[in-house]
Amino acid sequence: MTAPDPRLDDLGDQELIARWKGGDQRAATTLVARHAASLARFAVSFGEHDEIDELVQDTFVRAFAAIDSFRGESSFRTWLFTIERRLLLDRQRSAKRRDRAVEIREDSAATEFDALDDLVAAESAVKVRRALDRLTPTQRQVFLLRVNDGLSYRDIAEMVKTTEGAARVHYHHAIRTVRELLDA
Amino acid sequence: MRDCDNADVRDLLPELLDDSRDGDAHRAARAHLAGCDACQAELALLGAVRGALPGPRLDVARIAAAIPPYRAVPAWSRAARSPAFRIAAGFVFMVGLAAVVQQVGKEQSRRDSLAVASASGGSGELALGASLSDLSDADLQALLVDLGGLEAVTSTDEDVIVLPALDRNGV
Repeated sequence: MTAPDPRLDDLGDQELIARWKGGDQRAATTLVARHAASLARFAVSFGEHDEIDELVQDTFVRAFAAIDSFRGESSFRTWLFTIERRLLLDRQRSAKRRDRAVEIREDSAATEFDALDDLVAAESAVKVRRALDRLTPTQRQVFLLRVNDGLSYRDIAEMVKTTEGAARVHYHHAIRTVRELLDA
Repeated sequence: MRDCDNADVRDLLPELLDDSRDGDAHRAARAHLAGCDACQAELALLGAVRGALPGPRLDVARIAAAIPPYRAVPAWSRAARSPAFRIAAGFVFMVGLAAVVQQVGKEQSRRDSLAVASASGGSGELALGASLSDLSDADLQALLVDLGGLEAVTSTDEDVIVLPALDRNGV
């Protein structure tokens, strides 16, 4: 494993990609450290709870394998999200086929999120999570991409396959719903 | 509490959660925020949302280790994957397929016309399908008459005529 180099932290994504192409594997490690958490959060907002580590890894491996097709029209992070979204849709399709007749066990979600539950044990955090669960999938994705990752509406629209205006409307509906549920 | 009417600032609030954002618009939004209770409340809500979802723990080192070193993709391979190339390849394939189908059709048509001609018994042509055994007695008789009426064709070959030897008595 290649340790991240602190001196690379100040470089932009494009520069890191160029360095990785030049044979500096530490640049890839820096990019993973920079974007992995956002990809994991996006997976959760998408309703995914299992094997997120594998999903994020798969996203990076595919992205780096196809790096020559990244033309920089969007940010590298948005491009990663787009790849991850395709993987998530594939996962959900195959899970639907596989588990159509399988009953979900009560403890199925309590695996990787035991630690997370500890962190969100505070009552307010639990309330927020419940409020987020009440949003539509698209509202939740748009809202969390904006709040957690600060993506622009343009990038969000590209990722969730909608228009910039619609993404803005989803965001404002989401924040109103969350506030109402928290105030209730 | 009522929402703030300043839609531009509200749009920017999520970005104000990151101190690193420091453009002109962000500075203006921070100035607005200092005097706007509604925006302060909304920003606090956004902070609570972000804090409530720290995300699952990841093994960054393991993920990074799975990434292989860069290997350049040849230009021709990149071109072959482009949509324009695929459309062009599809077009060439369709044109080729159409040419083959047309050629096969022509060949079939030629064979059909030959068969029709032979079935109709066109004059001067050999019947390809029928045989003498298919003809009735009357037809055979007519055929013999026709054959008898044909003019003899002189052969260009020099025939050797062998005459029987005669004795003196002509026997």
